Amino acid sequence: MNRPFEAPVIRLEGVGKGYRVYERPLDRLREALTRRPVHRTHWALRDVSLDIRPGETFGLVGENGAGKSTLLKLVAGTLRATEGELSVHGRVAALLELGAGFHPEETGRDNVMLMGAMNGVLAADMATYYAGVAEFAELSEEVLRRPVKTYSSGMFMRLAFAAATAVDPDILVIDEALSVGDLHFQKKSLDRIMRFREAGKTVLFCSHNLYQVRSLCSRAAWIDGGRVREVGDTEHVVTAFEAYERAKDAVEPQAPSLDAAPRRDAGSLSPVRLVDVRLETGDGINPAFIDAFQTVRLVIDVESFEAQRPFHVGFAITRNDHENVFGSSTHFPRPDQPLMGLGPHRVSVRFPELPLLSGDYRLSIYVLDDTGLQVLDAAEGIRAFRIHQRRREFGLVYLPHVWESENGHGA
Amino acid sequence: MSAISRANAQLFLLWLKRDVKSRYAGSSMGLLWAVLGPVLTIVLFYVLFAFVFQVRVPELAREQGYFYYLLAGILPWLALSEGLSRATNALVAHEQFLQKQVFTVGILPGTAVVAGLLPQLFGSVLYFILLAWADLLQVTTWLWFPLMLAVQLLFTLGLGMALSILAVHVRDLVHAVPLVLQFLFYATPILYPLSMVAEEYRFLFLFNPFACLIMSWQAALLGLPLDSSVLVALGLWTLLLGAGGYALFRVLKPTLGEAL
Repeated sequence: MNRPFEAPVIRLEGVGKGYRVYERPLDRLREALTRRPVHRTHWALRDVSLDIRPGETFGLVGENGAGKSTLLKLVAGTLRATEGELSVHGRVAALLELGAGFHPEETGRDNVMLMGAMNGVLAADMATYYAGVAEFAELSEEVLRRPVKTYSSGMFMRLAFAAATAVDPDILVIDEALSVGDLHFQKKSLDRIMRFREAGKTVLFCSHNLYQVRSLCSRAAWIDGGRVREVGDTEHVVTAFEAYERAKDAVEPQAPSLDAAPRRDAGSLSPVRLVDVRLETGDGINPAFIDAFQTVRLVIDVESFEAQRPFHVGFAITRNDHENVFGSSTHFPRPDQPLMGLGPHRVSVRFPELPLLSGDYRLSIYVLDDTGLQVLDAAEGIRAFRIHQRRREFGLVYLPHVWESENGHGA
Repeated sequence: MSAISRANAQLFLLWLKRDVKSRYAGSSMGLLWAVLGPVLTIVLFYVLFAFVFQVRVPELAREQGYFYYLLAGILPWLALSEGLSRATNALVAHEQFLQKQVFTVGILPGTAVVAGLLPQLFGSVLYFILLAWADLLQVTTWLWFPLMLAVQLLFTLGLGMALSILAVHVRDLVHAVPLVLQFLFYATPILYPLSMVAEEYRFLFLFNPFACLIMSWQAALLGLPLDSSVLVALGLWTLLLGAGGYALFRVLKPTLGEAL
């Protein structure tokens, strides 16, 4: 729900939060006595101006340490701004850290009661509140009578989330707490946020899960280095943030030579050894940059020192974050045909119009025994290359697809 | 009572319960430690001062008079020194927590002070039984006890709250306050009666707020004579430390969010 003409419930104007940093602890005292400033100010947040309207679900994205949590704490009221104006209208419930205020020696029940009291639940409503929390957290009375220290971390987080959100605030502030527990509980947590939203409450949250931000928020802000870098429509802000993240990850690729690559120690004594790995494109051999949708050939040279030993060759393409993109091996086709025979062997793989999209990738090459289980020789994370792509589709790989539309459907 | 103050009262009680429980939970003898510490302290002082130093209280000239005198002063002292030390540390120790949970900050030093009071209340019950046994229990004590308790509470709450917020800015207080209290213990007529002090120096005790409080306690519990100047000083100190301390806390409370 986006109601642009209503007065904002949360308004920040030029808000900043600074911390005084002293070189030595004694400097603090010296400053107090001499009144001559000797501190530096570290700004966790600076110049932040935002308007959040009633009923809005507003997301914050940004890297770790960008100041998202500081902003949430300012809105929740646990921190005070060093400069600027901040106004919040309505009752705020904040979930800044799961289980803040939980005592491990106390029972789940006592912790929930205290959590309720901290969130302003009155004695008369406590029984209802407690029952609601227990039901949402799916913990039995037997479990709730035990000290919290005996809980599994999943149980603990479920209880903490349930206790913090089983209240009825006007504004809900949540810091990174929507991805706790198993999938079933995550779904429940999200449903609860959705219900807050449908009830016209204002929700302000930050998450590293950009999918969640996209699907929950009407508007978002990207906080970078303590400042608002982008603010507005969620899709616009999140896309800008993603682009920035990718650009930062795409460091200059270096191509370690085969010899410098990490090899399994079996290498030098292995009966079959890797000799060379090459990537061939229209632009030459082992280029650092490859245009997407080019035909690429992977050539692997091995040498066998045992005439009677059958072996296989496999490869994996991995992204620079070690995520496997694609892998295959000569022992995958059935029936497989292992290589055998003394001396050099060459295996090559042709990728017609390699459908990898923009990103940094590496190769891992394996020589395997006839069962495909034992690694005889390997070179991992070698031949780094970067794919450049000129088309607009995004993601990891290009999936063949066809757009279809029907006119007058269902009329 | 408004909904907010009712919610705060409830939170205060729950937090107090947790504070008391968690202090002794986990140790096998639990509450026994809470009793053993003060009891051993009192026995030590009694043996040392009644028998080794032969201190006598002229106003309470009877067998074991010193014992009753010692208890009258040391019971409130242990409560207020424990309460103040813990109150000073209350906000500093919960810094992380206060960043992450919206909380009525005053509850932290408040419960620390009140928790310190519990052993005193427990001890006072035993003390009253001993007094009755020794035929020393005054009728007026029943009147004075709640009044003195209220004064002590006001006094320590205000001071404790002010110290707790000051300690956020001046960390050294966490270490300094227990030390100063230890010093003040000997500068307060608990182990010795004021009559043992040379007459020309007695006025100095009026400048020690704790001395005024403790002397009033002794007078209230044992019916000892009390100079009216002490009562006046106690009134002024209670106003200054109790109301003043609370006012200072209110003024400085916003700075907590800045310092965290």
